[in-house]
Amino acid sequence: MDRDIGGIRCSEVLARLGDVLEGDLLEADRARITTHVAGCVECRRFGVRYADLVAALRTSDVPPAVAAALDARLRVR
Amino acid sequence: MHLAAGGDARAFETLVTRYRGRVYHVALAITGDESAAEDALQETFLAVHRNAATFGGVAFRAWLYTIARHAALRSRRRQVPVPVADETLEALGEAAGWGADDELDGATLRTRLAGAIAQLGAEDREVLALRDLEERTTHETAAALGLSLQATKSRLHRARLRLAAKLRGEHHGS
Ligand SMILES: [Zn+2]
Repeated sequence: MDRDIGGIRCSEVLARLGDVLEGDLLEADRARITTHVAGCVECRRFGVRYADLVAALRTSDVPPAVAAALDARLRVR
Repeated sequence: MHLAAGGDARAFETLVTRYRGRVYHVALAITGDESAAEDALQETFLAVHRNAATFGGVAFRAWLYTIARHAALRSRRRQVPVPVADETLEALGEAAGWGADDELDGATLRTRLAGAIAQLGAEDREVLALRDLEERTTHETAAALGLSLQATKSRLHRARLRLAAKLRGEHHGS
């Protein structure tokens, strides 16, 4: 999987995913990546996975058993 | 929770609910151990409660994560170093599902997150803690790690890909 679509290869899109998420791209790069992703289902799918992962970290909760133990510990005091 | 009366108790409960996930995962990132992280989580909110006067201040998050980091360092057990292989980005991507057509639904992702973080090496865990869990800026993360911006971004990207690979690993033998 390393196709040239929109003047940029899948591997270059992969390398720039963090910058895409940050909005940290030059206009010309943004345009090429946007064109690539519009025409490449693999990069689109992986881009969503990458963004979902970062979102999960930033909104993570504790496992239910950990929440219950925390609640019990705070209650005892 | 019955730590404080009335509105204060509710405020504290709201705070715990809002931050417990990130505090737990930061502690997990520091300790690499789920039970040590759980101890640190409890110690952190007990300490927050003892210092209740500082609730909700502007610098609250920074203060909270400082407490969490200290608690995590105290509960940290001996760690087995995980060697960080110098793989190509494409190889890391493929392990993370780049080019694959398998799906990882949100609920599964959240359920496996702690276990996957615990499997990462200390360098990967640290950059994820700073940038993605504590939500420090890239500049602050770079300063904390003593790295250039570019090196910080690269380490973060690779850590996220390794984490994605661990999350996927239970289905695909990582
Ligand atoms: Zn592509």
